Amino acid sequence: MGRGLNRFLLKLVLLALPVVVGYEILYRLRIYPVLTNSQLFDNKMLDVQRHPPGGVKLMAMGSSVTLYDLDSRMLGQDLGVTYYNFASWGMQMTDIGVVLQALVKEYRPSYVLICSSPRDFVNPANGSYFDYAGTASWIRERFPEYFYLRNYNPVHVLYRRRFKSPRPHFDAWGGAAVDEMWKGVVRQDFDEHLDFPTPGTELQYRALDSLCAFLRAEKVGLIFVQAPMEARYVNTAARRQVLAAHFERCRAIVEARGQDYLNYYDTTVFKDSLFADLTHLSSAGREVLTEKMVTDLRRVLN
Amino acid sequence: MLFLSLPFLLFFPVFFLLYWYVFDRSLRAQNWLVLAGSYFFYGWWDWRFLFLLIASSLLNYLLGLLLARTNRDGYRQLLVGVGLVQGLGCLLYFKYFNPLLPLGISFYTFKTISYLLDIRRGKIGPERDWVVFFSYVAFFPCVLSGPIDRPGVLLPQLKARREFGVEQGVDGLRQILWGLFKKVVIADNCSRLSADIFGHYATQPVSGLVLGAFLNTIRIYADFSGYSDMAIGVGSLLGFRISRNFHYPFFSRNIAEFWRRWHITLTSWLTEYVYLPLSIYFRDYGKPGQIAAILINFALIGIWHGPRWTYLVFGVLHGCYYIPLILRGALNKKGGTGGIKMVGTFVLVMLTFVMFFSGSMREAIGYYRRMVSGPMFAGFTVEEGVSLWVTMVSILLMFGMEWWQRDKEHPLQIDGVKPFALRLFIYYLLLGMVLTFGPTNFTEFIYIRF
Repeated sequence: MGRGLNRFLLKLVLLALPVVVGYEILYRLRIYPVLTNSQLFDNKMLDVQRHPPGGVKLMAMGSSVTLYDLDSRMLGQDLGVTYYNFASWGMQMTDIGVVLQALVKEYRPSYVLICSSPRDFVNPANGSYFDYAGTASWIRERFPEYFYLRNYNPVHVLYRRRFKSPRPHFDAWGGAAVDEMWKGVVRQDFDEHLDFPTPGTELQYRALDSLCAFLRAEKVGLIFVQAPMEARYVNTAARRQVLAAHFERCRAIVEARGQDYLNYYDTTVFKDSLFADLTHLSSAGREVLTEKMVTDLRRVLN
Repeated sequence: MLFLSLPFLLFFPVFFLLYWYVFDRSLRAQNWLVLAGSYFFYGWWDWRFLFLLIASSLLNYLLGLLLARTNRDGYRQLLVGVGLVQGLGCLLYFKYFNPLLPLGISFYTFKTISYLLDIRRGKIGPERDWVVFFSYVAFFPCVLSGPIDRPGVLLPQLKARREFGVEQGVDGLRQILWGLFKKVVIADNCSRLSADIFGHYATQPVSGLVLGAFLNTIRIYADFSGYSDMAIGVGSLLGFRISRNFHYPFFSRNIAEFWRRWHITLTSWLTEYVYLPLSIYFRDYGKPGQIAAILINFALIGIWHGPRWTYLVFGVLHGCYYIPLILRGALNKKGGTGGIKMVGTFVLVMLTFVMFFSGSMREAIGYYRRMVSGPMFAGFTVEEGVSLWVTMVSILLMFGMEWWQRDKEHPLQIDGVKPFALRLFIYYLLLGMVLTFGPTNFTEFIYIRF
């Protein structure tokens, strides 16, 4: 029986081999597995694993505001520290906190830079980031093909994610330009205004607090930046009051944990002409912001 | 734990290796492993209901031993009655009065009931080895959704030394692949497409409603028979021969033949323990008595599915379809040859499944009404064209394979196909379709909730 069983298992392995090889080919073709609900995040993480950025002293992390509002070249070259932008669309504070726990342990940065807007404090947590960050680091780093199995998705879906869905082009530091996203798209956000807080906001404040505490425990500095927004996004006195309260709440949380808080929300400096949409700066706008930020960061980093 | 889940994918290879390489020296050790594995498998979903499974096994084990000790008819009836009240009481309570239904409760309850009834009738003796009996009740390939193996079939296999047969193992793997194809490529895609149609039936044209009914009929078959195939395949890998549950039911030429081929283990269970006793009870009434027995039998099938009028009507309708056969004395005849009878039976079954899948009587009647009064094609849309075409091609492939292999246990029994490369091509074609055209999220097996 033993020999028959051994032969059976050997045949089974041989039959399964082409499937394993097929998935490896998919990976090499950058038809990546699904890691989280965010296709952009998945692509960035898998690209980073294939081409590690090396030492990262300043790690940018956050939502699309962090992704688009920071000028990579100025931060990566002018600041004189190694820098990489890990931000992705739609991340909330809960998601940022969860992913940071994995990334900080992997890259050991000295500082984490989060460029934020109230939109990072509106939704409930996204469980898929928990699943990803909860996976053993050696699997995430050395064996990401595991996610083909862990988060099974049919190949035609993986193919569509890779070739049919729009995604920005990352520069050498992981950043991207928002103008690319709006190319050929007619803006329809003229009647949209700040709608804040939401039922998910309190959870996100708690997540920010946990995140600050975690970074402090890891002896990593946090630089929490309030990004500018178009003036008409916050168009009434009541909305301005809500926004001011949000800024104050964030400042209190961040400073209570001994971290750095910077606020660049200034509608007199950041005119509406410097924006690509309500909460993202155009290329010209991000140069203005990053230039100001570099000056402040030099002070913080030193 | 479900077959289509990462935990099972990790659990089963470990179990398989332990089963054949470590615990194969003694039968008792192997049965201990089966029992432990079955409880682990079942408890993975909700460990609290594991206690119900164990308690039910214990009670029926003791009742079986007591039954063997006495010849007093009244006492034996009382013992069987206790088992029936416990089994059916739990089933009734959880199905009708508790929002949380323990998975597989119907299936293991049917097993324990048939165990007691078979002892009572003298068909089998009581099982004295509790590990064997508890393993029979909780046997993990079948505990969630059948097939419902009778004690006379499974208990002897648990008591006999099992040898790994390469042929049986290979056949098991093929059947798992076939089940996987049916579940992942056909059932889950049909589910998505038909849910869209059923969800908006009021605005669908007749063509859309017919397509919805067709897809749902295929879905329930592919889902349930796919699960059964996987269960039988897993059993084969462990050296067990599990009873067949489906025998190409859509090639039936009348409704009686359909039910002899559909969910065979449940139908034969009900025939033996419900229909035949009722037939005997009503025998003095001739054909009306036979009709009454059939109607009660199918009403029970309907209400077994749950507390919905649509299920009851679904069952009774099927019972009614038997009436012409009974009146013509053609109940056990095969119904002659010809594709037209097969198509006719399929259409009847398909239209009746509209009742099964409707959330309420109002919805079912609305669906039927729209089927006869709506526009033929105007406004017909489906969610995704590509998915529909892939699904349709897969359904054709399934029917083609089933027709080609209709005298075999399952369509992938293709040893006669030469050369080997062609067989290999068929395996990889099916596997490729599973990996390429499956759904983003697997839907739960339909019958797990029954």
